[in-house]
Amino acid sequence: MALFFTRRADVAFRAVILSAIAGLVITTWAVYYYFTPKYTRVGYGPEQPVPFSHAQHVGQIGIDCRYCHQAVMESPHSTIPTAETCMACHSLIKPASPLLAPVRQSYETGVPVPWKRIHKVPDYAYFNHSVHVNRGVSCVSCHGKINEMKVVYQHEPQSMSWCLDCHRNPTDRLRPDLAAVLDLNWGDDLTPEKRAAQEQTAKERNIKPPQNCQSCHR
Amino acid sequence: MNEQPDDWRSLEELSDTPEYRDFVEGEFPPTAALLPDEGVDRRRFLQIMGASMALAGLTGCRRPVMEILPYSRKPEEIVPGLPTFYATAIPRPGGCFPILVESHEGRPTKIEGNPEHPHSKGKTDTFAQSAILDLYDPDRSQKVLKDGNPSTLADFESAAGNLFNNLAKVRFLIENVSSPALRMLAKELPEASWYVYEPLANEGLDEGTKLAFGKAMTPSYHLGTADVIVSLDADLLGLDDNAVSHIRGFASHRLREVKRVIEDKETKKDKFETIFTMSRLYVAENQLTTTGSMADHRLPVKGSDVAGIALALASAILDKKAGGFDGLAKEIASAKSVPEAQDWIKAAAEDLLAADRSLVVAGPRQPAIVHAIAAVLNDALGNTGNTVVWRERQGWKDAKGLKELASELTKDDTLVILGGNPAYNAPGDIDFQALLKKAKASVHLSLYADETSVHSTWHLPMSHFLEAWGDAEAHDGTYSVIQPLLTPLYGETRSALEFLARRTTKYKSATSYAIVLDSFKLVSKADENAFRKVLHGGFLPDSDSNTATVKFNAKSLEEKAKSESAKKRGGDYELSFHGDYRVYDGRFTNNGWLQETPDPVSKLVWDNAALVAPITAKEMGVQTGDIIRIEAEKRSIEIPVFVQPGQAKDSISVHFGYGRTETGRVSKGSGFDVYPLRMLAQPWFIPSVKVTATGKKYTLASTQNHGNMTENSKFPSVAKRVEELARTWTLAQYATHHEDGGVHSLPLITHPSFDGQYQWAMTIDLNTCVGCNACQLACQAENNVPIVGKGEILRGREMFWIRIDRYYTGSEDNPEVKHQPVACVHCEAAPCETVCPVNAAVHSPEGLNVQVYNRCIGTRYCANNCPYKVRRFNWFDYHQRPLDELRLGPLAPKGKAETLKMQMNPDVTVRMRGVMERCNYCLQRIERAKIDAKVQDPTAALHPLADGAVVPACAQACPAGAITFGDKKNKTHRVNKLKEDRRNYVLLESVGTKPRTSYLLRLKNRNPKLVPPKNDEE
Repeated sequence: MALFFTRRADVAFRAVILSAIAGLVITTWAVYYYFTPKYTRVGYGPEQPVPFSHAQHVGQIGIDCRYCHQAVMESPHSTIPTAETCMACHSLIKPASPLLAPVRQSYETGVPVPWKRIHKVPDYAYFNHSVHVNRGVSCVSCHGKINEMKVVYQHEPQSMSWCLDCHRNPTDRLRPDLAAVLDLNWGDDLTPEKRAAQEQTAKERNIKPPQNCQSCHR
Repeated sequence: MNEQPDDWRSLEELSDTPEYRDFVEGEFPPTAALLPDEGVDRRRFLQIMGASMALAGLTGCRRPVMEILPYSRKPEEIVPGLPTFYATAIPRPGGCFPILVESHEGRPTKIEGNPEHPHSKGKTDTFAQSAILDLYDPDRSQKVLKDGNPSTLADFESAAGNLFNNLAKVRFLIENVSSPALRMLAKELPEASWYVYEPLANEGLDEGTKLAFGKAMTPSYHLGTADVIVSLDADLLGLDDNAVSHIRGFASHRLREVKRVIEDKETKKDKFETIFTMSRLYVAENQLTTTGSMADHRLPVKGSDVAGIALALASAILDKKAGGFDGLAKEIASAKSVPEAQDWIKAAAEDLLAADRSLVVAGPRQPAIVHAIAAVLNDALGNTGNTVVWRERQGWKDAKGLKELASELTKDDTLVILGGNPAYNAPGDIDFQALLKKAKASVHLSLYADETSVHSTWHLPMSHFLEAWGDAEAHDGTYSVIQPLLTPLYGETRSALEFLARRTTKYKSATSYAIVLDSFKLVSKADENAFRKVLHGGFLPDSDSNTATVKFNAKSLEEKAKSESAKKRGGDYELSFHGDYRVYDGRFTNNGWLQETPDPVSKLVWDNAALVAPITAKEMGVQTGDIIRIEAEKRSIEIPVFVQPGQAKDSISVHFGYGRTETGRVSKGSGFDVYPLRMLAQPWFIPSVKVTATGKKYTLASTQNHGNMTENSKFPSVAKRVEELARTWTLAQYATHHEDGGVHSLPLITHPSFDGQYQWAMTIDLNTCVGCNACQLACQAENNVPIVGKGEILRGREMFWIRIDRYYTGSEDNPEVKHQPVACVHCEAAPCETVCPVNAAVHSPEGLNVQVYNRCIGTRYCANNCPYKVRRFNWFDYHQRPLDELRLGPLAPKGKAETLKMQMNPDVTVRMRGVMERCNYCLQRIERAKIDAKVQDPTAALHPLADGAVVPACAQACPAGAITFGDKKNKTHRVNKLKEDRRNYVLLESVGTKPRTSYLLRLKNRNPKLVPPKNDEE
């Protein structure tokens, strides 16, 4: 019986199939690897209506995080400051700066300043700021060195696996007291004393972060 | 257990009809069979699917830019992310209902009872829970109408000068709301005439107390202290204005452990003996109500026969214990009694005479004489001042009624209707539309542009009570301030108070706050600081009206009794009118939550029907769904029949509130209007009506066969394994039995380890559950549970996380009733979890059976494997699309009214199409309590939660306190004590699922003289 296809055609056919499979595997892997928050979200730092510099306000002046993010100790949300909060200082400092016009306008009209949202967990995930901060997790763990950012951008992927990394091994992120929680540079030099303090905090406070679905998904 | 079930849920089940078989066996029918419905054929389906595929694309890749909008200046009391609670009250006929409203950043989302108010003690009913949905209803009237055409408030005000220049020619028709501020404003308009109309008013009580005492009085009943309660057609635990406090009192005396001192026969010393007591409830009524369902002895009689029974009961009691009513006793000795009620009357009379504390209550549908007789009996039995307390009547004392309005209205008058919908709900013999035409002009202020609005000259949209200032008195006179939680959603709305103020000279330009403050100062003689305190607490403490001592007016009473005892019994079929458990008098018809709440007894949804007894239906030759024509006084209505076990023979019960013509999108085409047959002179019963079958059919949706837990009963071996689901003992059995009656078996599957700090568990007390549905609506509001519409209900696809199964026991003529709320029971060895291919149904270390929505792919295996039938599947995007266009899928207009989105609880995920959901013990409340404890004391190692720190929505609402939730590990939690009670059992124990929710069985306090105890009792 005559061959329908030449031997070469057979080889070509195999090569096509193999390369198709390989291509599929590579594409899948690429999507799986690169279409994650680690690559799609980290670095997202939109331009804000007012070019507020955390580097200046926190890093240089040393304003406490809670002065502006008032509800962070009691509420699930760490609230964005009201125009009134800004005006507490800026009615005296640089009261006529053109960069602050949106804030002054909001203060006068009552219409909010439309800040751009940077960090966002999905609707079905219920993150709570107050419990993390009160129990000794520093702002820096999730937001990075905000005190050095001129323009705030997303520093961590904030994906579920990233959450779980910490929930499975919380000790490294703990701070022994509130001052250390709010000090974003505390962890720069982890001395043995600091390590010991972290471990003691975890023990004393019985820090066992939940790893089950019910804690975050409702 | 034999094959014929002792408990049954519907007549179809009892007779095992093929339709019933089809339904229970096909609970998950093949989806192919479901598609060709409602005009979607294969070609159309492919088009739709193609369109949605094309739209899918890669649009999800780019991250949308979102904004965060902080307050410009933050209100002092609001912390974004944390709810705030405000005390206010719902104005209602018969007294306001005190509530706390949960508000998220100025957006009210949930209503709870005010825990400090003596009336509600933190509990609610279905109407209170669903009031929040009315606020956001997009169908609410938003525009001023003049002769049906859009107009503006300014236009009305310029016309108003002409309408109101001569106040003597202005007639106000109002609802029976007891508002001191409204009365204060009415005093400013002395020339105007005032009329009150309330379709479900308790006129019998007013007339009865006038007959007995010479003036209208209001009683407060204390069911908790009564040992024997006799209800003469009074739905104390159902539609009564005070049902919430009645249920609380009743529940408190359904099982009481009493220690008493007795002398030990051997040692001759005193010792303690524990006995158990509970009240005994006798109910005589025609329609099976929730009160009747709780009765120990229920007597189904025609509504018009209750008067005869009252007289016979009075005769039997006054015979033995005249208590100063000798004259009356003589007059009624010859009363024509109801032969079939003899045993019941004798037993009730004996019990009443023997009891220390008892209570006789006449229902609002009964004529004056029954109310007078009940007052006499309570006095003769020594209950006045104990179980029944009389107060001066609140509200509009000298306003006239609809009848006077009809005769007094002239063509030069301006008729102003503040609230209410008389063109729809006036009795059939008053042509209200003609009255509206007759008046020079008519003004109608209401929440909806309804039947009255379209026939009025002016329609003005009314503000919801959560949008406007007001005040009100509770049933006992306790003063409450109604404070708004948000500015009116729809610009041009006004409250009745604001409308009236504009007509006065004194308050013409006053704010409604100032008016209410003035009214408060008048009531309390206190200042604005005291007002602020009242705003905080919700009510003025100790402001209930004084209790009054009563003096009987023997003469008029005797005369009336004499004429009543000479009356003959009514003829063939009696037509009896009732308020509806869901839509009341029709005011809640456009509330989807209430429409979809099953009636507590018939389990009908979205419709009303003519309820007839099985024996009467046979006589008429009709079945459930057959449309009959009912004729009386040359008027007729057509309405489908629903065969209702326990309905009195020859008595047809119909409910008000359906068949609206001018209404919102939700209630279009639901039910049948029965007001046309009502007559002013006979508002509740028509003794003789003509009934003819029309041969037409109508599909009624009842959930009574849904969620069947005994569906395998066609296999006898399996049927034997299924034990009684809703169990009952007699009080005597409880006192003597010491082991539980459960069937123990090994767990079906090994369960995960429960190493959480808390182990959550629940008990539901069937002994006190009256089946009022408050839990179901509370759950709906808390957990963003959607409504699905009548068509989906017919397919068994209702979404309630907690359903209330109602079982009948015994004969279909007068069955005993059991209510059993069933939500997910949180099995420790959960069958649903093992079958989930994607691990969406998982167990938490705290014993919760949780559903991870974002994992669920909708295989529905879990629902198939759930023995309790509590899992709910989102077949459609109920939250996204209109109910009548669900099946168009992506081609239906997407999105929902912005206002409805505002009601959503932000702490609970809004589920989309294709995911399974069910009760999760109000997980969001558990997590909030845990987080609160950690935030309170961040450095502590352990955070024990006190009993009551976590209360699920259902338990919080339950007026009977039947639902108890707590930590199984913490022995101080009350739930543990209840689980040790020998009444405790778990549902389907033989399946071996080890549920965390257990039930406390129902107790019956039967009178041995009426029901001789069986051998296995005692």
